[in-house]
Amino acid sequence: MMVRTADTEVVARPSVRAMGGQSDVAERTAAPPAPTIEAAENMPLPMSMVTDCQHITARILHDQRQHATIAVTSAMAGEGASTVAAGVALSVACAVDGTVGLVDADLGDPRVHELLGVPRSPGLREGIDGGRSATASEIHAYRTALPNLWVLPAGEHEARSVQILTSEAACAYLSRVRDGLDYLIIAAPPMLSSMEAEVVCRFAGQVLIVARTRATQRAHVRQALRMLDGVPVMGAVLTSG
Amino acid sequence: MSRIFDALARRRWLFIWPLLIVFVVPAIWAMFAMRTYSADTLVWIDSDTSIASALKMQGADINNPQDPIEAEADALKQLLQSRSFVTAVVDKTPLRSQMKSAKARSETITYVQENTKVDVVGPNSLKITFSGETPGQAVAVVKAITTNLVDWTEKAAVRQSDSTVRLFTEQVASYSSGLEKAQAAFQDYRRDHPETKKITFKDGAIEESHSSVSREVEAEYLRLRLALDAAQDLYDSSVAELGAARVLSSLHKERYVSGLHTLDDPAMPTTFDLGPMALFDFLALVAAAIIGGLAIAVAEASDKTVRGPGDIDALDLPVLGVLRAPEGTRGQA
Repeated sequence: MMVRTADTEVVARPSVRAMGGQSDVAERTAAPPAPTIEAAENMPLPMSMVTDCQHITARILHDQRQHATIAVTSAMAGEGASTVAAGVALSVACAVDGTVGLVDADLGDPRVHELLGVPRSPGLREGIDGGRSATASEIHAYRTALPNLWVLPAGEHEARSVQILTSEAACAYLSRVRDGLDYLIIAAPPMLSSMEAEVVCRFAGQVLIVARTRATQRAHVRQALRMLDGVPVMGAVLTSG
Repeated sequence: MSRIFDALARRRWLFIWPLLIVFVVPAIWAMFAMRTYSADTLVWIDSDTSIASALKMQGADINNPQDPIEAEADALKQLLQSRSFVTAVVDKTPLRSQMKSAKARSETITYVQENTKVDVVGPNSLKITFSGETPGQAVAVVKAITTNLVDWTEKAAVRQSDSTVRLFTEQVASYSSGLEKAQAAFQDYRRDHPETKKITFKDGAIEESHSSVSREVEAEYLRLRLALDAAQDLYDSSVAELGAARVLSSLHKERYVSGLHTLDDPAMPTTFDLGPMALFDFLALVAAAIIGGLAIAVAEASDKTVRGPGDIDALDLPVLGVLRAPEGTRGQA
């Protein structure tokens, strides 16, 4: 696995940097404190969102096996998919003992780094580029206030997000990220405004779709579901306000 | 029901805007365009003076209410609403300058008719009110109404009295003619029969006659003499009646003219009315409710967005939760 957890050996030595920029692979060999929701209080993401996501998380975790990968997407931009993904990742991290990763795959309009207070780059884009061009396999994941939650931001803005995320290198890189985690939450791009969203969702294998009440067109949700034909959709989360 | 209230709450501006447009705009318009100034005057009618009876004589169709003052008010209303009276009123006011065309004339008369009101305010009192566009106009019209009313009443009384005097005058003339004819016939007969000069006549009968007068001549003399006396009596009595009618006519005129009083002159109004604002308010609310309700119904019917969990359920998709986006994250992906 690429991202090592606190109580496992480092198999391949990824450069995992904790929030604050310190490289602490060695430090993380010690047992982390038990994750609590209060640890997320200093994050930019409002605590209310985290608590609201707890019952969603409970339903997600019900009958879920280990190593679950879930893509959180929406039909169009601006419907709250990144926020829900961050909230779900935080609440999952609070609910389980295993390691949880949150990957921002919305390279065109990333938000996760703002919501969780981590640098935007280096991140996914740089990781995919690095994996493509060299044998090095650095994963620029950031540790959060929750010791079992790692965040992989989107990286620098990339106009070629379609080519990047639909490449074999991206698939291989995300697979490596997933290998080191118990749960992986991917903030996917909107289904109808990006071609790579479908690829990301199919990679994840399970999809959570977000819709904003009084904003998202029902026809758009239907169209997004048609695009996800064959991919299990766990359900929908409605955002309002 | 909760869906209706939810829709009303969410789309409240669809109700508020029509209310503002339908209510505030007319209210502002009413403030500036519909302000009216009212001037009034009190008219006292003596209990023995009946304008109603005078109007009836003129052929007016007046109801016969129990209360005499109501009859007066009814009569006055008819008078004040008549086009001839209103035209005479307008001629004495600045409104006259507006009557430059037939259409403008008709509109001005209608305007005065619609804004003139007569109310019974006491046993013998009537209040005449006019609501005009300016204080001066209101006062001028009320003054013109009262002036014309007094003039008209006087003329009506004169007409009524004159017709009575005329009747007796014609009667006197007729009897005078009959008397002259009887006198001429009698004098002609005596001239043709000189012997009749010896006949003496007293109390309708021949008192003394002479043998030279035949019985036929005597009988004819008696007939003519009696006819002359009868004509004289008729003439004398008609002259007496004419004299009495003239006296009564004068008294009648005086009673009418002195029986109608203007108790107070119209004062210049200092405040203005805004018309039936309560009615406007109510109509605005009704109109806004209808327009807003329709707008909300149309907006709801044409809303193709995800309105709630029900729309997601309809897509055979389970709803895992409904989150309220916290402040600062709205509109974010």
